[in-house]
Amino acid sequence: MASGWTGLAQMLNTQFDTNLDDLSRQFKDKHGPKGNGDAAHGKPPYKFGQFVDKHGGLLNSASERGRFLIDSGSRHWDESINILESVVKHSLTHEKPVGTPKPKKIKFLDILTDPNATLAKAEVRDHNGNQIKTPDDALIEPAENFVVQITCPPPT
Amino acid sequence: MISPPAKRPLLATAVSRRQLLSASAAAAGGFVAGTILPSPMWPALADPCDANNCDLHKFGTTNINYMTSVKHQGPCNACTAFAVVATIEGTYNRKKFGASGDNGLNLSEGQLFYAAGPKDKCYLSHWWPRDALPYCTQVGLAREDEEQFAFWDNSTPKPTISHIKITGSMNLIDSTNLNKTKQNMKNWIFQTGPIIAVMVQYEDFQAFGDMWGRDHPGAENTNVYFPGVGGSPGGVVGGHVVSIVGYSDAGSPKYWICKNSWGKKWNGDGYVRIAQGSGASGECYIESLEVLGVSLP
Repeated sequence: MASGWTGLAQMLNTQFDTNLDDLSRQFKDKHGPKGNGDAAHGKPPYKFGQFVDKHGGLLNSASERGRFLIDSGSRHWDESINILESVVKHSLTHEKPVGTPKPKKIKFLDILTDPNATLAKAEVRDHNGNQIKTPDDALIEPAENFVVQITCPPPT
Repeated sequence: MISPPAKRPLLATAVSRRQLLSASAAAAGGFVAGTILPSPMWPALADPCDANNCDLHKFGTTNINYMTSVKHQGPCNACTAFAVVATIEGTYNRKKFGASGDNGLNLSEGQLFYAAGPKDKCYLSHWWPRDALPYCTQVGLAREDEEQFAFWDNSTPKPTISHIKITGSMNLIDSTNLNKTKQNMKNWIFQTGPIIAVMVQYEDFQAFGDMWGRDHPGAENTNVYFPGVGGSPGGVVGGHVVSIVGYSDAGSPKYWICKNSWGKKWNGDGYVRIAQGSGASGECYIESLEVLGVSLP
């Protein structure tokens, strides 16, 4: 695990820090206005990992993209992947007022490794440090930004 | 020479593996696909076109006659063991026996999985083929009918009567040139045998074969898989490992012929055609992650 993730958190943070509006626009172009896909226009729902695959510059080589996709696969995650996907969709499609894009920043902390873990997990907190516990947690909407801590099993 | 195959829904190429075999044989003037030719050892023949034998495998070839029957890995994440063993078997049967299918060498996937796999065994998340191959070099694998391992029993393995060892593996990836990688793969398939390959598994991959197998039991699926072939690819499940036994460049899309380990009913006969990559995002990266041939004494 984490084989394709080295430096990815930093790259994502750079995108969220310096390129948030573009990131939001690209995300909606790819996954529809709310990230849930748009079948009529051939846009698939957002799944963690595929955005990185589709948007060049975050990972350079086919090997890096493939390894990251494998690491991001559902087989390798506990249910917290659903929370992470929900928060990413909310953040990059957020509007305020309605019709005016106002994406929220997500900060990815350095990836941790748990020697006893067999699955990866993501802990998501809002700007006050409150943990987001479900994909539709009431804390998501009022949150100003988010912090994500991903913990992986040891590399194999 | 193979006639350009007719297109079918889902970008199918309507040419069967049997046709591919016979066509290759005809193109080679009686050459039976998979037979070892008196050619220099890899990698001396890096580009077969340089040796004026392009036409021999210009349109594709397959080692399917050297493969044992399709196995079922069961509920465990054991695809690495099955793909590695399938590749060793096919390479060995081609080189040593000239015999086909289950009349040739049939090795123990259970030994490799339980003796050499990661500690988490059945529900392991990652086991790359490169980490399985050293065991095949150092210890070797027992024949299926001689193995001392109960397949679903992870007890300590006992010594076996004899072991088949490999001498090493060949990385066929050129990380800077996808076309070179694909040519390396085709050369290896043509000259030596099948290949171990890791791919990104999307949700629609299993469904692709489940649906065909349900509707066409026992019938080869000539449709070519790529992520999203039937619509949305769905999410990524994780990694998967297959044994690539052949390829076809005869139509569009060009494809690899892969032996899977989800039983004979999956996708009609347990094999699947996977589109060759173009380097674009959204593919299953079957040429980019780990692509390995095995060498025998």
